[in-house]
Amino acid sequence: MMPVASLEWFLMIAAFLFACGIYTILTRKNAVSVLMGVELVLNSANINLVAFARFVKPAASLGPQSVPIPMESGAAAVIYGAPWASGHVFAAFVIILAAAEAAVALGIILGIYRSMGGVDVDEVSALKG
Amino acid sequence: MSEDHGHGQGHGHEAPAHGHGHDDHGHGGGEHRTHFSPAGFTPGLAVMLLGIVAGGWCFSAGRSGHLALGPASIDLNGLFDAPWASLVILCLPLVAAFVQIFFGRKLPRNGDWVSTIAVGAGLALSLMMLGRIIGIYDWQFERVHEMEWISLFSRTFPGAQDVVTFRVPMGILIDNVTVIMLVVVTLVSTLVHIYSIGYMADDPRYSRFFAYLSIFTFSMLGLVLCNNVFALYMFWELVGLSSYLLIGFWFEKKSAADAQKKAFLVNRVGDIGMFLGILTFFLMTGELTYKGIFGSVANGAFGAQMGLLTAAGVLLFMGAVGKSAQFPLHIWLPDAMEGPTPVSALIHAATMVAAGVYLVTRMYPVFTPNALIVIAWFGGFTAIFAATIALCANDIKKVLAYSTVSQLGYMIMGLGAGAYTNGFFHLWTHAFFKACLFLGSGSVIHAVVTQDMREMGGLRRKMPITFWTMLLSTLAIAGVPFTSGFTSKDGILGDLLFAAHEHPALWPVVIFAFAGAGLTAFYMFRLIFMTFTGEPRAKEKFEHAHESPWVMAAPLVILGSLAILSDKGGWFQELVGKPESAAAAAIAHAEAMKPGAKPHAEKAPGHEGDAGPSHAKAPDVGSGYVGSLPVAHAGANPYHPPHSEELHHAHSAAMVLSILVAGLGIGLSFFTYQKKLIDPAKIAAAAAPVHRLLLNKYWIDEFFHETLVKPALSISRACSRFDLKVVDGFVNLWGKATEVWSWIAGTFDQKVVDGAVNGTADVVMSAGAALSRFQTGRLKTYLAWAVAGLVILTGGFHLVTHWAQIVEHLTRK
Repeated sequence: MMPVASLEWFLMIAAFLFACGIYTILTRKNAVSVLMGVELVLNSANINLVAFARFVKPAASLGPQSVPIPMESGAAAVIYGAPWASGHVFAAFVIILAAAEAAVALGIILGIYRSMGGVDVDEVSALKG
Repeated sequence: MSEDHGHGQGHGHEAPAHGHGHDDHGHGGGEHRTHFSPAGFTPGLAVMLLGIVAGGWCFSAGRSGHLALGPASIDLNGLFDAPWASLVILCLPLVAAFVQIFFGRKLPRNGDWVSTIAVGAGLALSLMMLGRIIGIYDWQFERVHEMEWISLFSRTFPGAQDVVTFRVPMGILIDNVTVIMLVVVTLVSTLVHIYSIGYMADDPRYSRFFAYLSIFTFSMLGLVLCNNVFALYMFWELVGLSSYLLIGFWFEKKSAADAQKKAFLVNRVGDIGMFLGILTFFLMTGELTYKGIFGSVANGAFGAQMGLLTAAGVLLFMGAVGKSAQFPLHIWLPDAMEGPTPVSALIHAATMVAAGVYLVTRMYPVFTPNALIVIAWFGGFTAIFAATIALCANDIKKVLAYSTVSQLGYMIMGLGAGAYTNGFFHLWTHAFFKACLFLGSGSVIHAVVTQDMREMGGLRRKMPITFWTMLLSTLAIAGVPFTSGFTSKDGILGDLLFAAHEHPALWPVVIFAFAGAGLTAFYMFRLIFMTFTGEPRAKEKFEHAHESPWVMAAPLVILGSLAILSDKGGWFQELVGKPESAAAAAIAHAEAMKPGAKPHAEKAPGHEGDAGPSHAKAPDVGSGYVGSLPVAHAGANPYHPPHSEELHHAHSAAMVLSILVAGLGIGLSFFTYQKKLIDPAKIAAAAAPVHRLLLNKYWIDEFFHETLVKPALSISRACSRFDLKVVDGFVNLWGKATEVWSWIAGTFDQKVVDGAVNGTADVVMSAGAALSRFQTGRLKTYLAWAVAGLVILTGGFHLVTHWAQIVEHLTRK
C-alpha cells in the first residue's frame, strides 16, 4: 500500500526545513547566507500553513456551531469568502512579505557593508548591553 | 508746662524744683514765685470759684430732687433707679486714662484737663447723689442693679443634692455708704488733679501722671460701687496696681522703685488672707454678693462652726490690714511717701488706704464678736504704735504717713469696738483733713525743696494760705473741739469706752486710744511749730520759699474748710446706721444646734425682728457683744440713738478726756517747740534707748528683713542651687541620654537601613551586570536564546500536559 501523505509528513518536512533555516542563521557569518536561512524558515511556515489548510477542516476551527459548510457550494463563498483557501492566502501573504523583507534586508546589508566594510553578522553588535 | 520741661532738674528731690527767681508762667496765671503770692485774681482761681458754685448747685439740685434747666426739670430720683449715673461716674476716669495714655502728649496742655474734667464731672454727679440721699433721708436707702456675669459648672455632682452652679454676679450697690465714699473719692481726686497741675508742672511724664491718677480713681470708684466680693477683690487689686504705679512714678530713684515693690508685696500678704476669707465665705454660702453672703450667714450657712466664721472674718480683715496699713503690715505706707505728694494725699491718705476701713464697714455684718475684738486690737495697737513713731520722725511726709497709719488704726479700732457709724465717720472727716495736710506739705516741699522739718521754720510769713489751712487740719486731727476731727474721734472714743464697760478685753485698747490721741496732738503740733513758726533754720532755703500758685492753694482752702465743716449738719450719723449683724443670727443658729440650749433656740429666729433700740442692751445671743455695743444705731431708727445712761456717760467722759489729752499734747508741743522751755534733745538723751527705738521705727523693717526676707532669700538661693544642680543635672542627663540614643539610632540608620537600601541597589546592579551579558548585540545569540526558549516552552508544556502518559510510558516496561 502506497503511503498516503498525511498532515504529519508535511509538518515534519516543515520542521526539518525550519531547523535547516535556523541552523543556517546561527552558523553562517555572511549576512546574505543568514538571509537565505530566514527564507527557509519563512517557507517552512508556508508549508505548515498550506498543510493545515489542506488537512484541517475550517468548520472544526470555527467554534461551537459545527455546521458543515459545503465545500463546493458557491453560496458558502458568498457567506465566508472561501474559508477553504485561507491557508493559501496566508502563504501568499508570507511570500509577498518575504519578498519585501528580502528587499529591505538586502538594503540593510548594503548599509552595513558600506559602514563596516563587510557583511559579517558577528561584527554587528552595536546593541551590546 | 511744656516750656518748663527744659530746666526740670531730674528727680533727686521730692519736689519738682523750679528755677528759683524765675517767673512761673504756670496755671496760676503768671504770679511771681519769689514774693508773696498767690495774691491776685487769676484764671485758675476763677475756675475754682466757678467749680465751688457748680458743686453747690449740684448738691442743692440733688437735695431738692429735681434739676432745673431753664423750663425743663429733670427728676433726679433717676440717679439711683437706673445704674447709668453710677456707671458714668465709674467710667469717665477710665476713658480719661485711655485718652491720656494714647493721646496725652498730643493734646494741648498735655491733656491734664481731660482727666480733671472727667473726675470733676464725676464729682458733680456724686454731689448730686449726696444731695439726693440727704433729701431722701432714709438710713436704709439702698438700690441694687445686678446682672449675671459668669455662670459656670452647671452640673450635678454625684453627692450633691442640687445642681451646683458657680455664679458670679456683677452689679452696682448704691446705699448711703456708697454715695459718701463716692463723694470722698471724687472730691479728693478732683482737688488732687487740680493741685497736680501746679505740682507736677515740670515733670516730663506729666500726662502719664494724670493717666495714672485717673486709673486709680476708676479703680477706687469700682471698689466702692460693686455689689459683690468678687468685683471687690478685682478692684482691690486694681487700686493696688495704681498705687504701685504711682509710688514708683519717679522710678529712676532707687528708693522709689524699692518702695513701690515693697508696697506691692506687703499688700499681697494681706490680700492672700482676704482671698482666703472670700473663698471661705463662698464655699460656705455659695454666694458672692454682699447681701447674699449676709443672708446665708444669718440663715446658718456656717452651722455650728462659729470658729470658722470668726476665722473667715479675720482672714477677710487681713486684706484691710494690708491695704489700710495696720500693724504689722504698716511698713509699706511710710515708704510709699516716695511717690509724688499729690499721690500721697489721694491714695496713701484719703482714699485707697481707707479701702480697708471700707471693707470692714461693708462686710460688717459677718464679723463675729471675737473677730471684732481682734479687729479692735489690731486697730488700737496700730493707733498708738504709729503715733509713737511719728514723735521722732523728722521727714514731714513721714510724720504724716505715720499719722495716717495711726488714724486708720482709729477707724479700724472704732469699727471693731462696734462704733460703726463713728468709725466710718472718721474715714469721711479724715479724708479731708489728711488730704489737706498732705497737699499742704506738698506745698511746703515745693517751696523749700526739702522734706526735712529741721531745715524749715518760720514759713508762716511766706506761705500764709498753706499755714492756715494746715493749721485748721491739724486742729482737726488733734481733736480740738468744733473741728470735724473732734466729732468723729470723740465719737469713736465714746463708743469705745462704752464697749469697754461691757468687754474688759477692750480696756487696753481704750488706753491705747486715749494715749494715741494725746500723742497725735503732740506730734502734729510739733510739725506745725517746726515748719511754720519760729526762726528759719535754713536761711537759704527760706529765702527761696514762696506761696504756691492758686491752682495748688485753692484745693488747700477747700479741704481746709472741710476740715472744719465736714461734720456739720448731723446728717452723717443719721444716714449711716449699723446694719443688722448676720453673725449674731448665725450664733443664734449655732446655739440652737447645741443639744442643751433650748430657750435660745426658741428665741433665735425672732432676733431679726426685734433688733430695735430696745435691743440695744444685752441681747441674749452669742456673747452679747455684737448687739450690746452702742448699737443702738443698729436699731430700726438711727435718728434717735438710745438714750442709754451708760452710752451718754461714756460719751461725756470721752469728750472730757479727749479734750484733756489733746490739750495736754498741744501744750507740751507748744512749750517744747515754740517756747523752747523743754529741750527735746535732752529728753532724747535721757531716754536714749527709747529714742533709738522710735527713730528706728521699732526695727520692724529690720525684724521682717531678718525673719522673712533673709529666710526667703536663702530659700531662694537653695532653690536656685537645687535648680542648677538637680533640675539642670536631670535635664542635662536627659539630654545626654538622648544624644546616646541618637547616636545608636544614627548608626542603625547608616548601617542597617542604608545597608539594606544599598544592598538592594547592589543586588540589582550585579544582577543587571550579569543579565547584561545576554545582551551581546549579536542577532545570532538572541535567536539562539529564542529557539532555546521555544524548545524549553514547548517541551516543558508537553512535559506538563502529558506528564501522566510519560510516567505511564516509562513505568510500563
